[in-house]
Amino acid sequence: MNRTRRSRFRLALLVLTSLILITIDLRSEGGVIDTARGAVLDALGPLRSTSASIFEPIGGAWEAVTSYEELEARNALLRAKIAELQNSVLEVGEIERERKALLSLLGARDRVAQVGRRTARVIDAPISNYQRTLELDKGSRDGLVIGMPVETGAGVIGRISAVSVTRSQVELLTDPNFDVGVRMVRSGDDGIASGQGQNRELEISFIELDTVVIPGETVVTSGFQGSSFPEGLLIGTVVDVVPNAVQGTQRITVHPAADLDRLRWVQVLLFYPEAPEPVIVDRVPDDQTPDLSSEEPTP
Amino acid sequence: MTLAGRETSRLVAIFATIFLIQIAVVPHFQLSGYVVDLPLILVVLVSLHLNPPNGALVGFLAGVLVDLVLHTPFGMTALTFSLAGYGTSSVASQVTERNVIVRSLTVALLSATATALFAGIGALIGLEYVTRRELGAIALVTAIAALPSTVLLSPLVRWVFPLETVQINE
Repeated sequence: MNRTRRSRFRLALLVLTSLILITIDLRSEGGVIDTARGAVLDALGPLRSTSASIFEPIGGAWEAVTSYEELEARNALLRAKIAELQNSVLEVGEIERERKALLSLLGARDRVAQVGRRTARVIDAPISNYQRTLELDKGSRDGLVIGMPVETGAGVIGRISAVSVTRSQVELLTDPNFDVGVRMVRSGDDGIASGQGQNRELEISFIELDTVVIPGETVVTSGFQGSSFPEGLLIGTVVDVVPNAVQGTQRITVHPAADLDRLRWVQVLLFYPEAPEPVIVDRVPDDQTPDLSSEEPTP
Repeated sequence: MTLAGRETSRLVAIFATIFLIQIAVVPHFQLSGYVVDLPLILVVLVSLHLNPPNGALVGFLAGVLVDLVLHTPFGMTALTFSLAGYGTSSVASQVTERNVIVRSLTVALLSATATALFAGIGALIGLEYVTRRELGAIALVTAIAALPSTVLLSPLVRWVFPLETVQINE
């Protein structure tokens, strides 16, 4: 009886320790845990890179054997996509020229074009099924810091979530923790796009009921002051709109523009968000401030 | 039973090897897009030879090691593995040690349960990582992978516990 009680006590102790560790990790940023994780990331980096170059081709062959039908379907889809894109290249070029002309007329800066970029190789070898992060072969010595946006030519894929000296990890935009301010290109309305989990679409909240949103509409980052994303980065296209009359908003589902599978190279935007302007508190004018020093001390 | 020095050092060696295989090799050979969780399968397999407190402790330490390379909240894997270790050790006396089929099936069932437990703990702290359908697929892949893994890892576990054939129940 005593042994059973002691054994349960030891289990309770381990559960309690785990819960304390989870709480510390969730509440602190850049503490001992992050430092330890960074050190492990650095130490295991060369092993992961070497093993990726050895096992990736073998893994590819393995995948071809285990999911041949899926690969064939994906191939057909990509061929159709290429044909579609070839038709729209000319159209996009014309739009881009018009956009630049308008920007120069307005004297506005093209912020995205001005942001520096760092190309990094992706080691896409997830260790867990529950949270897919990508590992990059660039770290803090290459100028990367936590929060920087990461994209491919097709659009945003996520943000830097952990950085060590030589390595970094990317939190994908499908991650349940991922949130970013977005703008509906047609209406100009702003909302928040949130990840819903691996292989699932994004969801946009805070778009009012009277805003007209149509499937196929483009969604870009809004780049609010203080946001870690500059404005105008492509997030994806609207695939579904469901009005919620009770909340007075719409639930908008967005398909990411970038293909999050089979990533080999990505670009990290060396974007440093501007600090939000300080909140100005109304002050009492100097001449109305009571002069406490001249007051007689109370006996 | 308490862990002797030799058993402890051999356990450390096995877990370190499996950990390195898990981060370097396993991710490149996924089953239907899902990663096989070798450390979890090893925790379950080892815990069949331990009493519940030691099963929980081994699970906790292995979980901390895995937590160092994951992006999930630090301690979540440790919590899952310690519960898996404790649970496995508690039912170990019911498992016929010499029968490899029963042992493989038990390890498969417990590993699948433990991987679902991880998702459950995540949901409790507000992190919903996968849909129910995906969770079912992950549990199934873990269970299927546990069957051959048990056969392959059993000689290593026997190397750690050479004299013992039946778990000593307290």
